[in-house]
Amino acid sequence: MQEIYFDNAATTQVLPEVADLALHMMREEYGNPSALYQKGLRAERCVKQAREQIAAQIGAKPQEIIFTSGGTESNNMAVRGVMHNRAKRGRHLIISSVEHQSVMQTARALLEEDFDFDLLPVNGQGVINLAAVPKMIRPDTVLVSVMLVNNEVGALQPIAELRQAMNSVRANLLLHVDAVQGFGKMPLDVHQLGIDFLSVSGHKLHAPKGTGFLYVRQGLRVPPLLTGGGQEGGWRSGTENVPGICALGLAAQLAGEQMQARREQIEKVRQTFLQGLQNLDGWEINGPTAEAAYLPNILNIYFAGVKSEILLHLLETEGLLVAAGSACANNHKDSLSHVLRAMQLRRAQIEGSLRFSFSHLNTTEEAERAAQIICQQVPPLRETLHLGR
Amino acid sequence: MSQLLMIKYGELGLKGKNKNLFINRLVQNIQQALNASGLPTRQVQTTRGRIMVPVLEEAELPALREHLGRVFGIYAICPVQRTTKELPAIQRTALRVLQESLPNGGEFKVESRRSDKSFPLLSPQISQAVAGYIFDQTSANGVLYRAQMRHPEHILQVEVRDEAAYVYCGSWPGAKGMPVGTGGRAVVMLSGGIDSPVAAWLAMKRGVTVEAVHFESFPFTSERAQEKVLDLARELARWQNGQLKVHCIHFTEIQKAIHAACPEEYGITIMRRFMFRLAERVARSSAGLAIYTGESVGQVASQTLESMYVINEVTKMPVLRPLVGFDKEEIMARAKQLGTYETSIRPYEDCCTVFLPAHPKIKPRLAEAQAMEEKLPIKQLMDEALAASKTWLATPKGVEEI
Repeated sequence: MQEIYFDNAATTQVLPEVADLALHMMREEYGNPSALYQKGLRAERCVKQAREQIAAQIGAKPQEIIFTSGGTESNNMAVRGVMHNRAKRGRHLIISSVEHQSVMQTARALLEEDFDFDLLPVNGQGVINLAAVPKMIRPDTVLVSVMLVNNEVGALQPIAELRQAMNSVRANLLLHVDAVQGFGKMPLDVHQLGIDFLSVSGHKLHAPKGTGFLYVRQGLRVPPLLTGGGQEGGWRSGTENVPGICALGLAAQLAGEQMQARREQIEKVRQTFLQGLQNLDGWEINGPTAEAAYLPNILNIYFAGVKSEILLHLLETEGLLVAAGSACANNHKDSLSHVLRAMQLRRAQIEGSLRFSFSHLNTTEEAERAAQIICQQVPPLRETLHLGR
Repeated sequence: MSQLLMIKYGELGLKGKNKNLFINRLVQNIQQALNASGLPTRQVQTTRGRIMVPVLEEAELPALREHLGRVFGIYAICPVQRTTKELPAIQRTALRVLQESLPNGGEFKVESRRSDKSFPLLSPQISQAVAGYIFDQTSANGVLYRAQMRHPEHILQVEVRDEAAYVYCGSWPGAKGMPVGTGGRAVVMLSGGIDSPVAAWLAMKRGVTVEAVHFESFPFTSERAQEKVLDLARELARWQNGQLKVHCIHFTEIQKAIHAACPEEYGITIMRRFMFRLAERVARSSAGLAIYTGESVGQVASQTLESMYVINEVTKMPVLRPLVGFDKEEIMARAKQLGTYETSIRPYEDCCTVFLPAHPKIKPRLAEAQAMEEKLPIKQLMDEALAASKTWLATPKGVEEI
């Protein structure tokens, strides 16, 4: 049975050339970049190259890139780091209500240290309410953290406008953007957008898990989470994950080169999928539908009359792999997606939602087949659950 | 001088003619536990009605205690020193044993027995000689031992037998119960919740060999729920000679049929009736004569006496409910001791909650339940459920489909 992998927002398959490079660095060029001999230098060179590739992609300088183990570490470094560093100026932080848990939980953890944060609300499509921004900024606010693309519904956040709104109140506010879902999939220039810190995760980009980076604008500091041998300019000690970093660099380069082509493919897959779903009634998209308001890779759909985890398993038996908005395991409020709740969706709607996320490796044939599978599986499940519409 | 663990079995001694059967079984189970322990191999020794486990080195004692502590039928485990039948050797050994049991001094009494009547000293004389030696050796160095002849807390035992002399003081409690394999065969309904693993353990404790029956309703229940049950089974297998079979019955079609045909508030009742029927079928196919469940009275709707009456009606097999008198706290405490609690509270759906009616019938009526079931092709549903089922063998090392 054919497997159709529509969960690329969760993680992606590593591309062959990216995997080969990592393997090569593991088996042949396994030198420690800090070693004084040529073998070490060669490894260091690869890391340097990756850094330069990545910096170029976002309009940054190589020394502004710190390699980390992934989005979570980068988010932790940025949010905790800035708040601790700027504690004398202020202890208040603003984050959107749809941030990833690695930002959300870090903010919560900071409450224990007498910091404070507020949630910037979103509208019914998951986009931040810009008008609320100036009102939320307090004299003691030091950081605003908003993601570039929301991972559950694909909403694009208006980062440029956010920066303007922040500047209209005060110029020295810092802006952190979690770009885990957006990097490599859309043009991104940190200077144009006025971004001070940017988090990226490699495994969303066809690079291995355990890779990522944090962009820190020159002149700004974050206290290192890991202290030790002084790697990454002292910002992140620990022998560099050379295979991972080189893989990430190559994956980023390929993403940059193929950005347009990949986007076109993904849009085709998405359209074919939506087209195929026309044969089914009782469903709607959660999130923005206006063009340019969403990243086409991510599609969140509410199916009336079903429970998402059950449908997920049914689709799984047919080879289609997707993500659910809630696990029916706990009939507890907390198991519902906080993103969908922030968008004020009803409980029944959240419990019936699935996320489909595409990569350029998906095909329109897969999209057709996936839509077919859904049209076949949903009606009998609705019947069984007797929940109607 | 060498070290052994003497295995004391309590209740078995009362069994009369069956005594040999039980002892043989117990020895077998002890041997199996030793073989599976990862320690160097050794044979269990049985001489003159005594079960002894050789100890190869002091460092093994905690591991031996842990593994033997999971063998049902053992009343107590007694670390014993064996030595030659010469008084000086016995005295030295006795001092050593006492110092290990009471390193900081204390009150004790020496009790001696001799089954070798050719030994030059009488029992009371042995006790005196041993006690005298101990007091001589210890009075000077600050660790105080005192004699306590009435209601002594610690008894230093000396036995002079034909082949050697044995000295011991104190013992560790065993798991008690009856040796696995002496109590017959049964099935236990294992849901993955907190209660049913404790019920399974209590079945094993009385020597019953159990096979577990679990109901899965994929896709309404997650595969992780089944994995949880297999993990529990692996833990329980440690008490049943390292093996526990788990029958995972495919219950989805039955749930759907009940949900479609029966009024909502009888859903749980009818579902449980099917589960008991299926459990009985599995029992029959494996020579089992009873069904164990983790039911207690009054915890959830299906556990009122009215419900039990209606549900139980489908089978004539004894349905045994070891937890029937326990409070929830007591069950949880047992589960924690057993090591199953943490696994049980993992939050994955078992098949009972997706179709949960808003108002389940707490006092169902038998005639009504039977009337509702008439609409369902019971035998066909059961045959299909069993045909789509899988059986696993759980051992501490892992699970294997069989």
